[in-house]
Amino acid sequence: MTHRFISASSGTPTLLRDCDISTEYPADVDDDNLTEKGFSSSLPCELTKLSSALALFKVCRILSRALDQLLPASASYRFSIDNLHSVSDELDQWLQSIPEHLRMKFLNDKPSTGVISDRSPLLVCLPGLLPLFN
Amino acid sequence: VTGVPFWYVCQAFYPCLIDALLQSLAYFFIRNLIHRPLVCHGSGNGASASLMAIADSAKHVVQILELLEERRMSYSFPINKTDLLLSCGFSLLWQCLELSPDSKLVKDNEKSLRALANLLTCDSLSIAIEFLRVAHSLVTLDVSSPVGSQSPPRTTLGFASDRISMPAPGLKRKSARRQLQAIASRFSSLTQPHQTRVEDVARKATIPEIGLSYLSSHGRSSSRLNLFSTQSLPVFPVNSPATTHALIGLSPSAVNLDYLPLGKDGSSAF
Repeated sequence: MTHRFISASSGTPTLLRDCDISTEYPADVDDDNLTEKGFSSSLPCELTKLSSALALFKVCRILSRALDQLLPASASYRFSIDNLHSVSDELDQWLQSIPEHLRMKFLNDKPSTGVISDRSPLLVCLPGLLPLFN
Repeated sequence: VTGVPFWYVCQAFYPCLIDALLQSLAYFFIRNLIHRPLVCHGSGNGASASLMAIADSAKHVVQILELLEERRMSYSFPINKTDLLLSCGFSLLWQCLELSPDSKLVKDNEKSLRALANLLTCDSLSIAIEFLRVAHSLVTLDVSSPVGSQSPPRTTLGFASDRISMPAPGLKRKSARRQLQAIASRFSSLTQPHQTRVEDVARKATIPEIGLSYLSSHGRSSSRLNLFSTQSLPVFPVNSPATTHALIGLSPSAVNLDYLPLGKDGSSAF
């Protein structure tokens, strides 16, 4: 994954092609759900720690396609707008397909962090509330 | 209940925000990358649509990085932050190329570029100065000004002092910047030729020259020295060149030779 991003940043060709990699993606399950008999599937709404990594692996495939088809190192390369739209559509589909909690929402063209964040009302009040519990 | 649920909330949901920011960074970075070839080589509607896409992506990347900085979250994206900021900066500047300076898009881009310059200053002062030089040829950013490229150290100094004592980063940063801008404006008014005597102009003019040259060659560490010399400027004694040289660490031969006769005259005058 890092290799793809470095290649995108530096403009150097990638060493490994995607078609040569056949490793399966890991299952979207946390370690807590692993047992000797296998793993118990988590609820659809449950957040797993692996979903973020899986989403990044998938977007790296799209990055890899963009590097191969739109920014190749070959001198005899001919640019195709269809390719560009196809990769761009794939990227948009990826964004729609990732879990809700991994998607950044923009309200009024600004990133919205929602209520659940490190500045949620509970945490802001925490220093004042802690003495009450002691 | 001893506060455990609160920390549970914090630990359970805090990573979600980081993950969402990371995914968004990846999305906007790749979107920028995909549309870049058409912007560089294309023309017509396709190119202008791509130009909008890369500028929009760049703006969102800057917003996300700003949010990371504001929340003191670690930057874990697998691309050098300075590279990312620079590519976003040039994307924004590219859009400004063909627009009139009064258009709304340019104003929006200037706002993003200002935020970007602040982030870049935190990251690498010398690169920020170079970038601002390029940016100033296309847009007007009030990040720099009264003394030209001397302002990045001022913002850096603001950030650096914030990092040492953090409680209210936004307020402190603003107040520190205001103070430093006031000092700079006072300093720039002192260097106005029509307000001061010729000797004074020559004497004071040596200081910013030394400051700027030293700044460009030595980067971040020079900012404190520059500010220090600026603050102590009005109370320099007659033999101020020696003080200045000792302060800044330059040999006398490296500074403006026009000063030397003034020193002799000055010593008799005072």
